[in-house]
Amino acid sequence: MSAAFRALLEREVRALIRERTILIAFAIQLFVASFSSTLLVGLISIYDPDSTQLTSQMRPRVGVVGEVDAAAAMAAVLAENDAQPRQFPSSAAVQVAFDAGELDAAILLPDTLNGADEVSEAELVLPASDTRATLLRMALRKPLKEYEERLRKENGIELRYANLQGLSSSTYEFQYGALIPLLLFFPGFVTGGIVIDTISEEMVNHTLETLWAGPLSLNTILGAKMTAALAVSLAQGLCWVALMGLNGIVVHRVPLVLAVSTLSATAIAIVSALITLLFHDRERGQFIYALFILLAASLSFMSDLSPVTLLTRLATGDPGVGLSAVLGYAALVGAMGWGLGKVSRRLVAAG
Amino acid sequence: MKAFLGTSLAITNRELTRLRSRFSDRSRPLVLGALVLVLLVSYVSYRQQGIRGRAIYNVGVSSDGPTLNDPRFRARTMSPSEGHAALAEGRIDVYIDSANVIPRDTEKAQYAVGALRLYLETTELARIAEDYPASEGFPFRVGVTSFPIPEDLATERDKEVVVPSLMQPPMPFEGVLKASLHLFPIFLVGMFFTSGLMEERRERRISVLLASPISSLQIILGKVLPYLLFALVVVMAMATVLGGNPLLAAIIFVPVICFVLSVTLMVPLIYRSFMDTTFISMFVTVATTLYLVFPAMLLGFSDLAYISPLSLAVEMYQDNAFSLRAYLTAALPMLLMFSIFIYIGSRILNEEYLSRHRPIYRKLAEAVYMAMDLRRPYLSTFLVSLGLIPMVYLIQLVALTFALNFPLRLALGGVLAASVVVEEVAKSGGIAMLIEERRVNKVLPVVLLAFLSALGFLIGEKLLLMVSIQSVSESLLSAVLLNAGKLWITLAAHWVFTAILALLLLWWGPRRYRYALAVAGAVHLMYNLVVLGVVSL
Repeated sequence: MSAAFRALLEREVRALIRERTILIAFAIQLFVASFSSTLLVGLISIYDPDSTQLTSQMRPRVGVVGEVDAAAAMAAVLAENDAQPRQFPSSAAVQVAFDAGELDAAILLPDTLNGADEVSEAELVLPASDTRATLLRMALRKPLKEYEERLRKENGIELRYANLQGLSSSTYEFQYGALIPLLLFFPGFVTGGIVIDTISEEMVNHTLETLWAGPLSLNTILGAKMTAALAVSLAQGLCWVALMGLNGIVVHRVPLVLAVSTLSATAIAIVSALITLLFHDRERGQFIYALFILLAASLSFMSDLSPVTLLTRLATGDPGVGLSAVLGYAALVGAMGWGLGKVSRRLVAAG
Repeated sequence: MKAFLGTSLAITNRELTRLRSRFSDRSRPLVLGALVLVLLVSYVSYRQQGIRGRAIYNVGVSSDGPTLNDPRFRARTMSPSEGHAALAEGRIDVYIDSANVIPRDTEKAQYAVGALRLYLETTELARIAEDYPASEGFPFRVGVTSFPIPEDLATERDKEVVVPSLMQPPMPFEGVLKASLHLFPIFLVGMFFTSGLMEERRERRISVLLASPISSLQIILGKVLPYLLFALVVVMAMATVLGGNPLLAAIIFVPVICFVLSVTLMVPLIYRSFMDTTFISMFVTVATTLYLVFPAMLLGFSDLAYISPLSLAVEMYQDNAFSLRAYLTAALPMLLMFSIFIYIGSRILNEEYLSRHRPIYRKLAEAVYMAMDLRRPYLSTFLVSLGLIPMVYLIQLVALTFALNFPLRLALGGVLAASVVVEEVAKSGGIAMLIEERRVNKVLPVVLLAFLSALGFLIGEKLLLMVSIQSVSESLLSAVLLNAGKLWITLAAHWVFTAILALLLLWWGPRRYRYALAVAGAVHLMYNLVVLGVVSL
């Protein structure tokens, strides 16, 4: 590292630290993380059709009316699924119990159960309140499905793989498929914004020429500015991994995960620098940059070869990916950096 | 009025010319191409729903096993011997040998089995629907109706009939995702607006305009108009493509567009450096997105969802109607914020304010001060408190939504503390500036100002509660946050808290604002805890 590069890097890092608004960037991430993890994880556990959490929490009191065997069968299925069934002789009795506040819902079974090719149509009676009805409907979905499955079996039809158990995967998938990539790529988005701002500020204030007139080459100046922004990105990445660890989210292969996060930030920084050199002003630079980020984010969720997928696989501890994949990615980013170095002078001169 | 509008339209025309010239060179095709590409890719990405993650699980499948068409599974065909070897070496999480699913002995493998169960159940139901008559494959149907039990259920027309195995939970994710797509162009337009105004300010072209007889309000309205119309056209076009009602989409998103534009107007007016602008804009974008998206996720569970216009858009895409009150609950705070920011913007858009370099909190305080009519300090203090209500309301609603995720005790503590700070800052901001600028320096006027500030605040709160939907105005937390108690007690309480803060400022000096805030905030918090019954006297 040359002395000039080091001096410039120190200046840039000092400027970034002095700029107290960078704390806003950290606040944004904290805001996003706390909102996403609490609300989304909470919602996923409610929406997850596989989750029994809802029924066990609600323990709905369900009145069952119907022919003795069918009602007993339905009551058994309900009890197995954390509901509280109670059999009634008639729908009028159910209504009385509901009015007395003793019931949450009712299932009215047809008088005779179906034969081999007959459809059985029951009635599910819920409270008029939309919110409560929605929750009860979801809570009762699983026992009703199991009851349907019994009838289907009586018709000689069986769902294959129906005995699979496993754990509810929604939270796991949200953490590794969305939350970890979001938190570890967000510092990269911030890096891009910083790079555009610092370069375009030098360009519009005509201080870039002054710097360039000294012993520094244009690429050294760009390199120092990008490295300073990347240092901030790496620091954020480290913070996130530590915070996730404290919250019980295990990130496997941390060095490689941080390498992918930093390499992505580097790629974003290179593209940002290129955009700024191409357009010379912040207005168009930030606009094109925003489009680029939207495009990159959308494409990332569409391809198995994207850095998002690579990071997810590394973070879950997938043995199928490792150093070679990260090195391949590093080579690509290196090529991008080399390309920027080749065209930078020409782009500035064109302005 | 005609001349006012004419001048504003002339500014609009100037802004359009400026934008055209900005993209007249080689950047125009690039920008247009990128814009089209982004919209296309975002749409395709939305259709693919890859948001749940890709290649999370490694699965080996025997040649007679099921086909896994889900991006979460990285599936490879392997013979049983290869599959068992891969399991032993940890290369795969699960091996599916024909109808047998064999997981590794790890937690991740158990998640993989859980995910496979749901996926395979869906494919199996599809197979049964194809291979068997409906009456055999799906022999149980459920008519859903509500209490009181209708007399003749069989002929009940309104009931919905569902097959339990095909019954989907009312997941608003897809609807919210669809509605959220509208936010991209709105934020992009907002970003453009900020950048344009910043460039004008930096190149001092705005100074030329300010030196002319055109008023600041005309300049702002003239500049906002083209961006508002452009965003509106894009939103309507997107609604048409996504199968919504373009006119209804326009009505739903106008408050959002106005809100975003008014907030992005404030950013270049208070900015000190490019980086300030970037981070503040980023914060505004993220905070607004969260405010709009997360309540919408509660649609179907809680009417609190209606604090976000996005919920109305989800209803629109599901062909559901919504009430005028629900619309007002979502739209009014945003439209009021727009009006207030436009007004404050028109007051601070002057050479003196723009050229001052101060910390951001100072610039915000000065903005409040400049929004006041100093010839009428009492009326102004009343109006500042009244005018800041939508902002306080928005912040408190965000806090309320956020708090719903935590146990009630924790939520109460956090939300109450945060809301006390926000309320006291809003009520005392104008008075603090009057004291600092030595417009008032005696006890009696300060106490009177505190009363008027409390009165303005209370009237604003009551007006907003009147238009809010019931669940918002009647929730336990909002009862305290929005002071839905007896009028005179609430007014007296507000007066006392603000008077404590203002008198301490008078005696200690405005530099000790944070200490005065802490004292008044502590008293206010104690009052709230008593109202809630957490603390008894």
